[in-house]
Amino acid sequence: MSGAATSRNGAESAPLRFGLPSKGRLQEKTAEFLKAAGVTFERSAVDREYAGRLRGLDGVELVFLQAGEMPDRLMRGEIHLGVTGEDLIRERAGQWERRIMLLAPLHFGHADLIVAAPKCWIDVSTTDDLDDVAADFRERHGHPLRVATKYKRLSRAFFQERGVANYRLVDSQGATEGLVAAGAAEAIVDITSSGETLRANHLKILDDGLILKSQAHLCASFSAEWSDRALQALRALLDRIGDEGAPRGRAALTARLDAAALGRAEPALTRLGVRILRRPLRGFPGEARLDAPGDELGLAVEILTAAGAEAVSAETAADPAAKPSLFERFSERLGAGDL
Amino acid sequence: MLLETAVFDRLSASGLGRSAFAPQDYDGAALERLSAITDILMRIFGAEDAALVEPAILQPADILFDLYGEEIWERSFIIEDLEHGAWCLRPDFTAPVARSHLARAETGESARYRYCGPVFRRARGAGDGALQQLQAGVEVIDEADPATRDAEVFDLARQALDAAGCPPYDLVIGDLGLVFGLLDAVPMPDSWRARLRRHFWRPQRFSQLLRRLGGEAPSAGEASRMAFLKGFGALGEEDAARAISEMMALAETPQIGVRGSEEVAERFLRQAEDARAHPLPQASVDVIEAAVAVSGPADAALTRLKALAAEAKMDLSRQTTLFERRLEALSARGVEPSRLRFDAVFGRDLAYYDGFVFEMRPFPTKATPAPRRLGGGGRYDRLFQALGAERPVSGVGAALKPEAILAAIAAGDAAGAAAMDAGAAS
Repeated sequence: MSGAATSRNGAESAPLRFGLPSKGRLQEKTAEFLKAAGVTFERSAVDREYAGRLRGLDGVELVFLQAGEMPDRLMRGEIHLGVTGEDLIRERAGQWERRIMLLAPLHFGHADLIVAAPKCWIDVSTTDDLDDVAADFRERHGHPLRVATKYKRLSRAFFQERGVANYRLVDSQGATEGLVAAGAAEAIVDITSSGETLRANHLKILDDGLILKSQAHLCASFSAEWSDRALQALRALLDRIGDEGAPRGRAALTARLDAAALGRAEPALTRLGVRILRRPLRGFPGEARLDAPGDELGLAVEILTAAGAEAVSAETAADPAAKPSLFERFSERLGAGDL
Repeated sequence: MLLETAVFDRLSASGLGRSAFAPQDYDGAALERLSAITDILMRIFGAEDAALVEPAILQPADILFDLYGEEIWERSFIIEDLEHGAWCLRPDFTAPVARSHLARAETGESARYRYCGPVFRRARGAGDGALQQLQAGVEVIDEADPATRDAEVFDLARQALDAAGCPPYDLVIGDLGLVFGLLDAVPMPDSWRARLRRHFWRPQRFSQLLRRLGGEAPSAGEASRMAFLKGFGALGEEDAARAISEMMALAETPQIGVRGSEEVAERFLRQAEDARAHPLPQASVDVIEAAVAVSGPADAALTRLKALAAEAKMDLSRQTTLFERRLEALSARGVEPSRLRFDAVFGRDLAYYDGFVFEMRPFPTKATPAPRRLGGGGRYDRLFQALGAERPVSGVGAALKPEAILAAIAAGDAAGAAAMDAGAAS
């Protein structure tokens, strides 16, 4: 598999180029994440792109980049790995999936991309309303309804999907929330984490105005040239960070309870993705067989017990060979010529 | 470079290869064939002394925004800087020709134009063709006798394709006037009707809207808002206006933006008023759904639409008469209505058509499963209004794509040769 990848390049020993956030909270959080995987990095005092050292993982060269630069570098294959927000990747390019794989969510850098309008627009609560207002906006006010954003691609795609027409995007390079009060726009598309800034600027999120729930991801580039050494470094890193995105497999559950109790527990179980394979006969307790997603096993057992089940037992389908690891999934797509 | 890559990605995802959208260079024999086709089209479009026009390739982008909104960014090549403003490589001829007609002609003057040149559009899917492609077309701007003009323009396109030697093709027609007439005849608040009209040419969006007006609430939030609005709508006008100002004062909501509290309150009250009509009666939803589902031979479709209108006790006679007269005019020109495929939801993918619409597509073959459209056209009376005409102006036009015709002829020849080979082999 790595043969296919290395045939594209000559340098068998070229290191893995790892893009790390160059500053701030994103860098701190990335450091925490890597530390948990037994990897630490330090940046030398000289402020150059490649000035940094990684301890605990061989064959890696660090590149310090602003979060916004990361998507392009990954798209072009100038770095193999990078840490950046899903919002930035999706905004940067359509069909990004062909060039970038989101390897793992990192549980920081949470941000919702949303559509917000003035709170005083009591007649507007959905994107349908926004479309209605936009329809005769030019006639009333002499210019089209303006939406300020730096997420133009995602905004257009979202409005097109929702059927909002007759609006115009205006560029914003920061402090987007203030642009409505400043008279430069009628609505905004921006990221928000707590909604505090929106409230302070007298804006409200439309009821159906959530475009994307984003967080920081570890991302890999299919466009980069992967040497054997770089692939080895990736494998070592991925083996250590664990694999929460992987399908956990399913667990077989048996429990003793009556049909009515199972019926009561059923909605909660269904929400967890539990399937009921065999129900006890009506009227008296019997054996039920269920099948639960591996991650939800604990909760499923709890729900069954609370419903009055006895003799709850579980068996996970432990066949690790059957499920490809994160590294295997990545290298398979790389080898399949996803470029 | 990145731009090109992005376009390539989109097209690859839709099953088109790089060659399908790359503008083509022509020389030698291919150029001669292409010029010959273009000459034939332009000769036919020159009937009745249609004047040759050449709108500028760079058009002011603002005009396009008026016509299409932000969506045009996705489809057009826009050049923008602070000094020169925003300009757009013309994505079609109809709007620029209509614009220069308004600038040049006396009010109410009729005119005929023909044109030929490249247009520039980002392809969205198979059948759209190259980023740059030739178009040759005709526009007839005339108040008199729309049915006859419709048939005449359609026939010009047909004659031109035949004269150029184009192999048989699929024909589809629609009539937005008929569908809009139907929407006008169904009792409902004006704001709902405007919404449905605005989105008619986006079929998915249209049916979603219709279902929601019919009472399908996409979320609990929306259902409760509707209930709230209904309650509000039951208040008298004065009480409602006072309630609104009290509500806003209570929330200490400062006024921001250019929409004043009066405009907001007015629309809120209208919504509340409209909410009392919610949901649209099932019978109304049904008749709209039945009408947009009509497709088949044009004559049978007309019969079906008339029956639907009669059943719902609607007066669509003006629209159906126009449709009927158009079919008669086509028939007089040798176009058999039973051979025209009518599709009620066929509105082409441009917002400005509002009457008769048609399109010519090559039949797909194994070698070219998604052939480029040969051309099409339609009636666009509303376009002039959007461009700022002071009184109603009527226009209908057709545009053909010489390069697609050349490709269709080549594909036809190849299929013919293959059939001959197969015949010789057996």
